[in-house]
Amino acid sequence: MEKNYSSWLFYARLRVIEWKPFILKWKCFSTNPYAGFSFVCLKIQHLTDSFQYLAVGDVVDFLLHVHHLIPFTSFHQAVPPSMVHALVAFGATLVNSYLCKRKRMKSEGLVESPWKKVPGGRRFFGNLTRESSTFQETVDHWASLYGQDGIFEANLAGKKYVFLCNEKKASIIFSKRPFQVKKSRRLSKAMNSLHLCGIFTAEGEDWERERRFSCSALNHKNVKNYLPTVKLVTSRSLEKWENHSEMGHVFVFFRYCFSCYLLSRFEQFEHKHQPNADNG
Amino acid sequence: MLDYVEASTKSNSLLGHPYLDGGKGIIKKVNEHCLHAIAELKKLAKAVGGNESEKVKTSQSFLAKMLVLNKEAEAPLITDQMIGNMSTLIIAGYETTAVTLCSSMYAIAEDQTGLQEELAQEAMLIESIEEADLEKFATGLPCLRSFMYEVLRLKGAI
Repeated sequence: MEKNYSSWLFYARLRVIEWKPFILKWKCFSTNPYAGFSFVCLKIQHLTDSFQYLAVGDVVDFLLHVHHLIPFTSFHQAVPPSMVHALVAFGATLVNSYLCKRKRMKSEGLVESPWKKVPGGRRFFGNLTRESSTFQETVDHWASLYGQDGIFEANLAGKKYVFLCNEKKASIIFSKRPFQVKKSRRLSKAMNSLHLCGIFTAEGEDWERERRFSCSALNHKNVKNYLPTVKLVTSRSLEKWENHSEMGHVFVFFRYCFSCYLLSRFEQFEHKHQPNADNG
Repeated sequence: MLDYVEASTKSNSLLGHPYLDGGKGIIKKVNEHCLHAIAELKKLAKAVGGNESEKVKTSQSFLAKMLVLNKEAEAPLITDQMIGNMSTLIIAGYETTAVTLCSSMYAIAEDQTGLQEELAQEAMLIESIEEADLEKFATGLPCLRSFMYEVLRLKGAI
């Protein structure tokens, strides 16, 4: 196990140099006998990503606030030294992650955004919704603070999001797709890894081409042709619902929606195969 | 495509559980269905001969329409791109549709102001659902339309 934890520290050091060695090292870990270690590494990576905008001062400040709440002696008894090493390694990973991000921001010439920031941010959580209200209510409240033409920025668990209250301004941004405005590369990577290489992940000329197909297949004229199928699966869904309620059974609506949707998409013309023959 | 299926199968066998592979098993199944559906449609299009375009155009299948559009395009999509798009639309479409429907049902059930009766009365104004066309649904149900917009705003699936 000692070797394992020293690897943690090594991993943290590698992150400062470059991203690529970490991947190589991670692949190396995945073949070692410590089951689940690579998975933990991956989880840590996701966690550190969420701390990308967190200042080191915030971490120190937090530790200064909470350290007196934990009696050191009982902490020492409860937690084995190896776990302490792991915690230290984790802390080092966080700090290194922050330093990497800062370095990258500097090298790419990124500057602070000009938008007004939503007040009342908390450490770690940022402007995340409080317990008493939904996210929608919170966003509505923010929008009321900045008016109909307002643009403001909120920090949601370490990630910065810019909100636009004006539809026309939003359409200006959308009109810059796909060359100037691009989607999240992380989402694209995740979807591509699952071989979902579709319109949601495409960029540039691919996006233009694929969008043309998808939009044409979903235009008014074509949607008209789908209507009989929609009516068919809806009537069957309702029939099933009625049968369930007559028998006093619980009807799992969500599960049945999936079947309806899939079959309306896969239905062969001429009703070669009967849709929804055995579902729910 | 075959490489991908092989890789997915390997990853499944390593983990030994269909839901612990990050969704690869499900995606694989959807992709296989897409591939099968494309092959079936192409076979059918060949069988019907000269009328294939019209037949597919008036069909009720999204995939069939995509295939016709692709055939007529100057720069068509390759099969993998087609499958990728289909899988994306299915997975994205099912989740959003199902969540929105469930949210709307929940909102109606929770409401205490007689919304359910109001929506039912409006729906009754359409004489025959079977004969109603898209315009009728789009313009003849303003209350339901507003309700759905509100559900999407407050409990949006995305």
